Amino acid sequence: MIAIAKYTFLSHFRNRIFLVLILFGFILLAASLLLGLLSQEQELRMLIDLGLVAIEKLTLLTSVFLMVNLLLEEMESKTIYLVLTRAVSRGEYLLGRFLGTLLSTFVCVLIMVSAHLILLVLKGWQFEEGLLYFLSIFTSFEKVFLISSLALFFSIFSSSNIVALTFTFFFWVLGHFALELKFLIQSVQNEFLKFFINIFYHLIPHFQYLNARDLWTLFSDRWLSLTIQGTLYTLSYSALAFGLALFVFKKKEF
Amino acid sequence: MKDPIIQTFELSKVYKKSHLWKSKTTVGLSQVNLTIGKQEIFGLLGQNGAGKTTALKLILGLLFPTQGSIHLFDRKMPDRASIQKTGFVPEVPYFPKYLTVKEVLYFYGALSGVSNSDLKSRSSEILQLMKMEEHQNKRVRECSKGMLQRLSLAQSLIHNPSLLVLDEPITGLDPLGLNEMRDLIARLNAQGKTILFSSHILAEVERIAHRVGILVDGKLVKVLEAKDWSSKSGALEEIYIDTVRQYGVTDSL
Amino acid sequence: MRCISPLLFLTFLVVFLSNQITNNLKYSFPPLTELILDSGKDLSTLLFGMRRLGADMAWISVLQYYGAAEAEEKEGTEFGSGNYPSLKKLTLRTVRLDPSLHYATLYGAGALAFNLNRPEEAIEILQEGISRHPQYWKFQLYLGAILYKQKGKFDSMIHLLEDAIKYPDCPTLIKSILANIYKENGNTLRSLQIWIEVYEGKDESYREKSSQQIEELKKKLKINI
Repeated sequence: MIAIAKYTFLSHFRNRIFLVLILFGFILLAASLLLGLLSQEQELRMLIDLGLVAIEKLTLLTSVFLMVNLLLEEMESKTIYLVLTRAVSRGEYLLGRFLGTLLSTFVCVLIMVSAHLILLVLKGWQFEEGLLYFLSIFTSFEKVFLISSLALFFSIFSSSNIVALTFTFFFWVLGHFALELKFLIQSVQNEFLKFFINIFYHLIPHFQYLNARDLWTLFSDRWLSLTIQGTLYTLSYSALAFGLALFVFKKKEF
Repeated sequence: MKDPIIQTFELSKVYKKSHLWKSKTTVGLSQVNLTIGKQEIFGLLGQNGAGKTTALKLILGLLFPTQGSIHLFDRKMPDRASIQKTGFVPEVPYFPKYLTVKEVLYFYGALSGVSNSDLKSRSSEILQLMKMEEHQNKRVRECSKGMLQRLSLAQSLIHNPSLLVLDEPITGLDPLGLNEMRDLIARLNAQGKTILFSSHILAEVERIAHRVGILVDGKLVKVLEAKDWSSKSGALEEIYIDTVRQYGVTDSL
Repeated sequence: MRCISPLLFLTFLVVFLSNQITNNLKYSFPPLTELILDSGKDLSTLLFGMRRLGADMAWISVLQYYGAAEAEEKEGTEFGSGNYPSLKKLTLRTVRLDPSLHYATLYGAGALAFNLNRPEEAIEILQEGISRHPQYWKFQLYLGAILYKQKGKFDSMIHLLEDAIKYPDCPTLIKSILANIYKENGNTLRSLQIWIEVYEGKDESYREKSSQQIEELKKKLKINI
């Protein structure tokens, strides 16, 4: 599994994943020039928010595209034959690929965060709410971790890039609307419908709860318990999605 | 047979394709009983679609049998220890584009359980055997077709397997390539390896195989020993054509 | 069955944790029905989990709106005055997207109450802020100042505004408003002191205005600094 993870990581970087980082650099530079002019006294807040969103979205796009194409490309090109005809279980193979891809994404995150921090410090940030900043990065990565496991499941289940990407982004959007769904449950009268919407509500990922920056203002004294709960949730949900992916993958023939 | 390496018992594979409310079944393999002994060179022959690749994939675990069972090294498949002693050369070699030749060997060696300390020496040995030392730092996407075929063989040998499964190893080779492949197979067999391969090129098969099996429409209709064709050159081809005409419909032309 | 049981266990675990999180957290963002959405822009920021950034962009819209001259504005019109009928709506749009953008509440309320003389709208914005973040006492401070203004209790109003401008997160707009109030009431020296603070502050959009005011007030006081 470690060999698979290591070579997955190597392949992604040779595949020029770092171009994403260059894109990030340009976004930051352009934003800092523009926001300085437009936002008056809220420049730092905007730079922080824009930077965090850019890091999250670029990480999301990178990770989801890599994850969706990961196995589908291998299956289409038949490079998977030479792996599965070795003493490697399908579980080890899948986990190795999954972790290798996430590791590449994580390294990109570290590089982007470093660049962002340099810009913020140059603009006079003195690490006010520094803990919030790093928690935001951590929880954004948790969101990407979770959605990547779903992307893996959809790609194996559907065997089509377009379908897998569509479902993955649909779940990303749905995950940010979980609370609106909860509001809907309360307003529905029909008990039968209420029950089903409730089940659906609990099964979709709750990304709003993995949004440290939004939650911080209200719950800054409970950040540790929230982080632990959020992490447990992310790990369980990802394990479930991965388990489903493995269940389908074990039955696949090549 | 003493020390069977591969045994199949009533091995069958039916492919099912569903589209809306209709489904179509195709018989890939039907009740194949095959035994391949230690240090044998066994050739699997058949027309296109006869089930050769299906049989190989079933043995290697890429496909799952609809019925019957497979035993490798006297252990029922799937079995990790048996697979660890097997090397596979696919018909068309595909490798991760972004790795170098050396990294490919290291990667597959690691997957096959070769320890880090042995990987270096083992891959040097194999690169020497395949005459690829000067290309070891080339990326896979920069390699020619011939180099990829040699790399394909190299990766199958990195962990010194006892059984080699080769899918159409001599297709597309030039006369020099054919000669080198023949020598290599003979050398590996002399080292104690059992070799199972599929092929269309009967002239070469009759020169290297100890036994052959003829598949027609998924059924193993005939198993021959070398003595059955060694009396005259081209005898295997005659037997093959007669068998195929007797048991099945040909769609070659 | 061997494969299914761990999956079933994980499903129950996910549902259990989801339930725990839902019960432990009171998510206090306004629901979708209360948001003032600007065509697809705000909805797309919500759909992709960029709520806070959406609020930042909405805030820039407020600044651009209030910072731009109105069509019917004549030359010589007082800085910050005018009609700006949508200021309340744009401010509420911003703070409903992100109630923690307190600066927007203070700025919008301050502009409406002291520059545009629409204290009722300002009070509405502040009361909404208080309902979401009652612990943010500066809302009460500003509300008090506006109520004193309505009742004509200028001393009390000024006292509260003096308190407000001590804090680093006080919008420069409020400082400029207080400086103008002092100027109108004849306290030129205090007005000058505040305008110097504004000039030396981080907000460059007030640089020119504060420079002009400083020159004017220096002439009035007949001092050279």
